[in-house]
Amino acid sequence: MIRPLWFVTTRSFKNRLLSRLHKLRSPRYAISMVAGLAYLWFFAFRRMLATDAGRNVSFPATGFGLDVISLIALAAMIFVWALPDQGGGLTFTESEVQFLFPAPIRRRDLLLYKILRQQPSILISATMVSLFGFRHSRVVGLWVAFVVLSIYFTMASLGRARLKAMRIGFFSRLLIVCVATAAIVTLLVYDARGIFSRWTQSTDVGLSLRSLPSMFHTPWVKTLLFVPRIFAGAAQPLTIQQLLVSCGSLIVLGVFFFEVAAKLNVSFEDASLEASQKHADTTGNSRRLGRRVMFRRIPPPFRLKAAGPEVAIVWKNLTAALRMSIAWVVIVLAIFGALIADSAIVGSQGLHMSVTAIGLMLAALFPFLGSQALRQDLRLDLPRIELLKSYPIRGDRLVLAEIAAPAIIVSIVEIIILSATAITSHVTGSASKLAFIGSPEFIIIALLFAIPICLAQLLIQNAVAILIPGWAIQSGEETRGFVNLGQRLVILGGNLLVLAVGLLPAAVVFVPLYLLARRFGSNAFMLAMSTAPAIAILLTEIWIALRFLGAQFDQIDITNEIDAAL
Amino acid sequence: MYSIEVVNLTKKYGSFVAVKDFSFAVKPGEVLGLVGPNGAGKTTTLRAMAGIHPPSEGQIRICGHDIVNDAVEAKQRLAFFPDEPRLFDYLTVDEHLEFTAGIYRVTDFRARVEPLLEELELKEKRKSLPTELSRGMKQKLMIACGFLHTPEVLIFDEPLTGLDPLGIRRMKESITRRAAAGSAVILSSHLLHLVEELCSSVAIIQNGARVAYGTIDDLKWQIAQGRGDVSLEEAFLRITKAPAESGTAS
Repeated sequence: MIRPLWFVTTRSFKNRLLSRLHKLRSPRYAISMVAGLAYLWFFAFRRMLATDAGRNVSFPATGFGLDVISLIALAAMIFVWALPDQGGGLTFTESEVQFLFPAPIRRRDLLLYKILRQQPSILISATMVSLFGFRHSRVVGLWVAFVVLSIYFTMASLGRARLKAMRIGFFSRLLIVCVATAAIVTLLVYDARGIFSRWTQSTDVGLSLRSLPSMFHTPWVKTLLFVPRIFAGAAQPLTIQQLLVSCGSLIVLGVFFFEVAAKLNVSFEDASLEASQKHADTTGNSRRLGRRVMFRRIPPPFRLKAAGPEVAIVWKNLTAALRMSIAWVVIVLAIFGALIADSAIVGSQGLHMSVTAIGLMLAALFPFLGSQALRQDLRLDLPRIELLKSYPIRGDRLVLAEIAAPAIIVSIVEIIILSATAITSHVTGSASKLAFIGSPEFIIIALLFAIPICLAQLLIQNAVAILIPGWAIQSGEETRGFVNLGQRLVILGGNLLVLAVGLLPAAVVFVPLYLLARRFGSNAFMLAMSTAPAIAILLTEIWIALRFLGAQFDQIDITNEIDAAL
Repeated sequence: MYSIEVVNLTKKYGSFVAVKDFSFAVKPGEVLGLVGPNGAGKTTTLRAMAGIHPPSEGQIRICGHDIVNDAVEAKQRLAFFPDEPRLFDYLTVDEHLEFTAGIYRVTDFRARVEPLLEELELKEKRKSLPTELSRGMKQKLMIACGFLHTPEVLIFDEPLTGLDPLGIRRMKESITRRAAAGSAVILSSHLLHLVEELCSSVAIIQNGARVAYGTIDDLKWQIAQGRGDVSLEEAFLRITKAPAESGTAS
């Protein structure tokens, strides 16, 4: 029976790998892959793989380090018995449930399949952890340790279910674990009493710290940490012999844990269905963070009349934003409001300056952060593009209507932040380099530029959805890996570049006009007038981009990509 | 005048030709069945008719309006019902209808909503979000949204998927009633008995090309060749086994 399970495991891995390699023939995936790998190489692997001591980030293998890892492993092995889950549910994919559960397969084989199936991801994790500091394990040690630990956790999960069948429920287990933990801590403290007394008497901190490892070398503690130390010996061995002995011992332990798990013969199918569904929901939710309905009872912002498709789309997206993302905006504003209130009450000059600086930073970042948090536009609607494209509305008008709702919210919040920062700075008379924020000219210019910049930023974000929709719609598998990391980097870089290029003509026009206006006195009217041509340029650019994206929207055909992703 | 005119429709994906030189027309009140094996090009044809993707070649006119050059006017007159209902997760049933009324500028939508909710058994679910609806209910909501602006052209892609027996019966009655009221209907389905029951004419498509087109009676008569009666299923199987373009009923 193991042959078909081995077949499905190896073929799934091979096909997934081939499918990803196949995708690399498309330039957009290839570019993402290169960007992702380059990022990882320059910011992570290059340092990790460095051989010179100054750049090597591996943790040194010491006896004390081994003791600490052993203690952590012991804690994990004990506390897993205190988990509330007692159904013995193991997570399987939807297709595994459909194919394997009704098949004539023994539970023992299902367990074995589950362990086999985990191997590629465990190997990747072991490689990453090994590179990130546990290089002495030579990957294989960590791999074996993780595999055996996962078998132990499976055994514990089934053990909890068996205990429940024996009427030993969660609270009883919790009590036993608490008593065991208390006993172990007492034992440790009792054994280490000599060390503690030396600490209290000695003024030499270094000596006290050096005596710490001796805590772990009393006979009781050594006995207690015997099994966890085997895990530690594989994860961070002092010598190659220790690595080999630990790995061999762990394999024996792994077989033992597996046999115990199989002998428990717990009917885990029902609980597994539930656990698998829960896992799928959690994965889906984490992928759709900020795209879930959080407050379904918030009413739409206004009554929709037969006003036409543009207003209807704005209404829909405002409703969506209120129900899905408004919490983030309220939290940001509440924290900022609390800071301002605190600064006003305390009245310290240092606090005023800090709040002004925070406000300025928030105002500068909010067009970016806000456009990420409020995605109730084409980015959210892309999976329903069939529906959108059947509506009687021109592409450019639809794109404008789609971005209008987040643009309204982001602009309002941006104006609130700017105004509050400027008022705080002005009222408290921040006598510092940040005092200019309270000046009328800053307030006028910043407020006039706020809306076009927010609009431009949202347009750029939506342009990604229209021009490279495959990057905006991703299937579950695509949300991980180098390619996805590369896509995010390319999008971020492209976003900043396009925004900079877009702002450049406006800046070129604005700077001389502003200087000219200052020569004729910095009154509000003159400043507004000096800003107007630059804003006109920005709005013209936005209009041209809208026309272009609208035409692209009318032409795109991404139904196949959506079908594949959803 | 035809409500739907498809003239030499060709749709290519790169070098792959999904639909090739496909032509047909549907009059007001007529129900045309679009049938064919899996991957024949039915959904591609329907999506092109709804303006979801532009045709590579050829013309599609909805009530005389070109779907590419006069898209807004054409789309105002049609309703497209995809096989997979993809609704807005954050709008309730009622709000979906209010939104659709806004999109199509339906002024008396309150008066229209109640009978629709009644007809499609959605009254008790009007405050529910799509995540709280079964697949069949979602399908019904899509249908309610499509019917709301009384379209002159109805385009159904597998309209009965996910519906219960009562839902299927009501759906059939709805289609028949709307056709009788003057709407032109085109539906694709693998359920040939449904096509035989509802449609006055049929177009069979295979490998992107039209292999038969005409009234169901003509088609059956042509296949039977005077030797008794044959079902549409029998006719379909015989036609799709034959090479493309080998026979057309009209």
